[in-house]
Amino acid sequence: MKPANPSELKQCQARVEGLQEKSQEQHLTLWSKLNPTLNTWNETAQGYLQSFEMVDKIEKSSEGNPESFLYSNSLESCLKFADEYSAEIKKQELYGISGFFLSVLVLVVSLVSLFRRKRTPLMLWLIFSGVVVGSKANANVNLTPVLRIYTYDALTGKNSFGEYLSETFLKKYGVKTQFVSFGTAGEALNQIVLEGEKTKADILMGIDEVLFRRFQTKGRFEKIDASIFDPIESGLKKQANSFFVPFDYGYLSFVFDESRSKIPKKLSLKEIPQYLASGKKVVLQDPRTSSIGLEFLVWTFEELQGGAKTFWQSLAPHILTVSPGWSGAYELFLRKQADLVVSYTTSPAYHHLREKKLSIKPIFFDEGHFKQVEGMVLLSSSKNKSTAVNFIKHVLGAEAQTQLPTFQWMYPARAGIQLPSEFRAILIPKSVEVNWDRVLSQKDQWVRDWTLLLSQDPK
Amino acid sequence: MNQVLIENLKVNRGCFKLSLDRIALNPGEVLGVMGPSGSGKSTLLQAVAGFVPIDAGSIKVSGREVSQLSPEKRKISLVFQRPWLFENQSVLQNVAFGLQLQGYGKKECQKISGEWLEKMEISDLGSRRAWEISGGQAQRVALARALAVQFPLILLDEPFSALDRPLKREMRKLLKSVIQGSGFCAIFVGHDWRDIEEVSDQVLILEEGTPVAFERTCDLKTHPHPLVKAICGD
Amino acid sequence: MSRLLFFPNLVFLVTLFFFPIAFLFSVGIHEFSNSIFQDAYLLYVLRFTYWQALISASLSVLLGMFFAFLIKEWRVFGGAVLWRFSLLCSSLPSIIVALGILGSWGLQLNVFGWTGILLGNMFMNVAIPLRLIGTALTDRERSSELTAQSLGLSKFGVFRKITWLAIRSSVFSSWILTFLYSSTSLFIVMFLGGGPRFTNLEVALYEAIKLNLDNSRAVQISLLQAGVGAVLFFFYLKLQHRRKIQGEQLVFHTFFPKRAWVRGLGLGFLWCLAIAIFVFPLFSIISEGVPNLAFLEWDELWVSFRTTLVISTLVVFTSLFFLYPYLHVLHQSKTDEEARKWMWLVGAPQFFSPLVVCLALSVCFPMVRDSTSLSYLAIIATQVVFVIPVMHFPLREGFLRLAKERDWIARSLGANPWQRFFFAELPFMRRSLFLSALMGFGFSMGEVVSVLLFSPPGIKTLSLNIFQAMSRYRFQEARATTLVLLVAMFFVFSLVGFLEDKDESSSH
Repeated sequence: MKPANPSELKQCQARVEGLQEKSQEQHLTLWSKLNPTLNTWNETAQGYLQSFEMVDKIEKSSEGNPESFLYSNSLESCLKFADEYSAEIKKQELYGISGFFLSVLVLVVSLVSLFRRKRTPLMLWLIFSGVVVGSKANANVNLTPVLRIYTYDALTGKNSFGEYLSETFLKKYGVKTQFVSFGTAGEALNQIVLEGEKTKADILMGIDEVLFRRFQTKGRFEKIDASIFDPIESGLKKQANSFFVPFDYGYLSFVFDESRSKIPKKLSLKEIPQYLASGKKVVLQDPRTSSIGLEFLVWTFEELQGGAKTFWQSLAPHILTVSPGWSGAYELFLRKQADLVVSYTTSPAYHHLREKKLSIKPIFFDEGHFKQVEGMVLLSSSKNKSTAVNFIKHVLGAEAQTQLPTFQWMYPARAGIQLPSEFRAILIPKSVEVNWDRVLSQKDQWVRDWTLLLSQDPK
Repeated sequence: MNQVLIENLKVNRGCFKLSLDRIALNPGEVLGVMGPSGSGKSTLLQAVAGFVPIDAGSIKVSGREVSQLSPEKRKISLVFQRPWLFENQSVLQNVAFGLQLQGYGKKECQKISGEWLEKMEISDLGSRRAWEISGGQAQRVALARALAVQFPLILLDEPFSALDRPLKREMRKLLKSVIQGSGFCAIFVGHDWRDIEEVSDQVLILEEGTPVAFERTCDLKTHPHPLVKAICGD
Repeated sequence: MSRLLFFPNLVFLVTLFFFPIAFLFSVGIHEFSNSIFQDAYLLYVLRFTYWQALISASLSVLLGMFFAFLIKEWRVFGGAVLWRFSLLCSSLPSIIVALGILGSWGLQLNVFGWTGILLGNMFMNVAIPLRLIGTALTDRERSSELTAQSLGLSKFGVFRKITWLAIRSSVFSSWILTFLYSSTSLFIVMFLGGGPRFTNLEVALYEAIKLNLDNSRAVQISLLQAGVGAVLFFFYLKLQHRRKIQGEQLVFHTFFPKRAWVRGLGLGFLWCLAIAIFVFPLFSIISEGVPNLAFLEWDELWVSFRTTLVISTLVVFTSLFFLYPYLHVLHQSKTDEEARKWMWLVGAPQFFSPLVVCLALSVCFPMVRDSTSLSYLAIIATQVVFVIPVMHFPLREGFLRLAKERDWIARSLGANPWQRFFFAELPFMRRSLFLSALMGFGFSMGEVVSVLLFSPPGIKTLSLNIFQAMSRYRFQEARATTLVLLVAMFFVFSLVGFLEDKDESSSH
């Protein structure tokens, strides 16, 4: 066996990592087949390299040195593995190119048959091409277990928190995650309800307390070990129970632009209509289609109790419009068509950080704000429970929770996370006490009352 | 031998019934069909062409029984009141259309099409598109298209109705000379007695699906049928 | 052979629409009671939904007819532009339209309420009556109008006794379609309505599915919507009959005004209305987008643009692949009565809310998310289900105008079915095919629900970009991407409009 040195091993490692990345993008089946081997080998090779570094003795090894043999062993395995991996990828590429040319040939022959009015060859070719396309479609089926997470759309897509979690979870655990997005968490939950026990979802992420509490008795959620909840802030542990794992939270409020509107220093929720009476307009979300809209409605009824109806009656003439969702309302606010919008106290952090705009601020009420907590639930029908628990731990991990604020523009659920300075500049308000039993029993009536109150002609 | 022989033809279309005993045409003969609206003239043509199923009877063309064949295989060409040319093709290509389908080579198609355009006196229109020619010219092209394939039987459904009188006269003479010279048979449906008189050798008059007269044209000329007077006036 | 052509569409719709809907209903409905009819609130919503749709449809058709007359009969300056781009307006995502109206008219006056709703519905729906009535005007028989005028009948008399008869089925058909679309608009009604006073059944449906998870109620509302849709479709089919209308070789514009001042007045009025309804909101979208172009990530945008084009092209071709042979067989081999019965299959997806259709597919076929290729197929298949009813209207109009005599002549000369298709059918169906493909393409470009539900990670379309950016505070990027979508649609519609014009001029 010829002697080797660490740089050769490092080069070989880099080569294998490059092949791994390439196969992940283009040859998923191959990647999934070889990944476990790669992980095992990688850890062994890493161990050898680390031991050399620990003694701080990187020197040319001689044949007589026993460690150099082990090291040479490692290099030989690496080179062999890299060569095999490379050959497999070349084979896959060849299949791909042949498949492409075959498809083109099939298409050309089908067209020629079509124009020459030859029916039988045309049918045969169409069937054959269907088989080719069908087999190609199946070629990329992922053989590794995939963790499937149903969530709302803001958590998916490029530069989303979901994308970040996917990448980091894959690196750490070698497991792919698939975020399946729906318009809202409610739709995601409804999908699970409709799919029944055969649902492929493992985790439902982004569900709020209102939804959770309504459905926790249906028996679809799995209990989670208490130790998972340890890192969570004490203030959130009350919301958490064995099924619902909070991962972020925010406080509802009104957001305004200081450059256009002056807000009195002392203002309470019930005084908002009076403030708006000076010709200002507010844009809200519809509680019938938006979770933030529903939570704002719940807040007003919980906070103001019997005075809620009066509040809404006096607010009605100043409502510019009611948006189906958060984004439409916020867009109107940014376009200066409304002076206030219902959003989160942390919304201004986005403008501060990304746009360097400091004039957008939240209104703070002394009596407190509604705390919206978003959480994850593990589904009892999941076939990947242990992986799902790892994912939940990963979301609650320090790294993910540190990144969370600048993705979600919400507060992280984990205790002791250093927030960005733009978040630290925002006061953390008191949270309003919510009687959930009353909320669950009265919610529908409140929505009806709201609808009837706002349906009357404000003039 | 009769080139065209139609016997005991019965066609039921809802509450309308067409019933014919016997029609026989020799090569070069033209049968004119007249009758009031709704008498079954177009139904007769559509049944012979194969677009309307027959309930009973036999249709023989050149000794071949065609009543059970699809329209593509009957070798019967059609000309309607409107030309119905293929608009994305030139005049020459329209005429050559049927020839190509019959297996003629490209050069032969062009030669035969050119000849027919000459017979129709529109040889200078060969490269024009269908929308670039007048209605009368288009109708000549339609006729050339139907005749160029030299099928034993041609069906003409009021082909001259949309033309003016001088053009009609021209077309009548042309049609008669072409059919006589070529040996085809034709069934000609019309409302104008002058068309029928000049073009046809025999005349069939239909009323409510039933023949009321079937005579040679010369006989009908000397002894006009009251229905013909009613349709065409004096 | 014709049966082979007939069945793919049937199989496609049964597998990807009827079966999933039935599956969803069987899973979702637990108790069927008449509770929705005892709900006073829902009855109010029902009344408002159809009252709003009635007014919107009537105004849209009146406006569409006015535009069609001025463009096709008076040949006003700029009419071709309006003709070409009207469909672009109907293909934009409705939230963009709502924001455009608010960004333009909203700054001048209080558009919330009836004004906003009618403006929004007209913006999105005028293209349908404009196109259908405009095509009917182009293809109508004119010699009888000429004859009538020569006998002394006034232009109004000619219109009342002759022209109206030729175009009335298009007028009523377009009214029915516009009514259907107006009754199911969500964003336009909610956003521009200004509050729950303006609530339609679609909102109630969203409420049931998204927040209450009350699938029984959602199913009952869907069935109610479908019932109304079915009744309208019944009348729509009654209006469809074969027409013996062909393009005249000599084009004569009966209603072309002789006096220049009348033409000028018409032109002015047309453009005032067009600016108010279309141009102003479009300008707002453009002016909001241009200053924010710097926020775009161009490489990501290019990928989204490419994906959008690919998906939309595949959707259109797939839809035509299924729809065209089906309609061809109906036209060729079935009587009018029988053909109408089969048309229910094609029209049925139109009766249901897109949210319900997507939910049904998502629940019935959750395994599509297992592979990237299957996900793409799911997106295309879902969009095809939505797009087939939209695309079938112009295609069907085209088939009704086909002359059977030309087909008979081709058959008598020995042409087989393919040759008859190429020579006797396709050249005359080109205009309908263009319009159908255009409508399908535009609809697909603006579609987001299917991409949201089925897309594998990383796939992005322009519409999805807009929605995701808006949900993450990136409003500037959303506005800029909207502008890009608008420009992309503009080019697509320009190109097809150019091809359409070329085809029209060659056929005359």
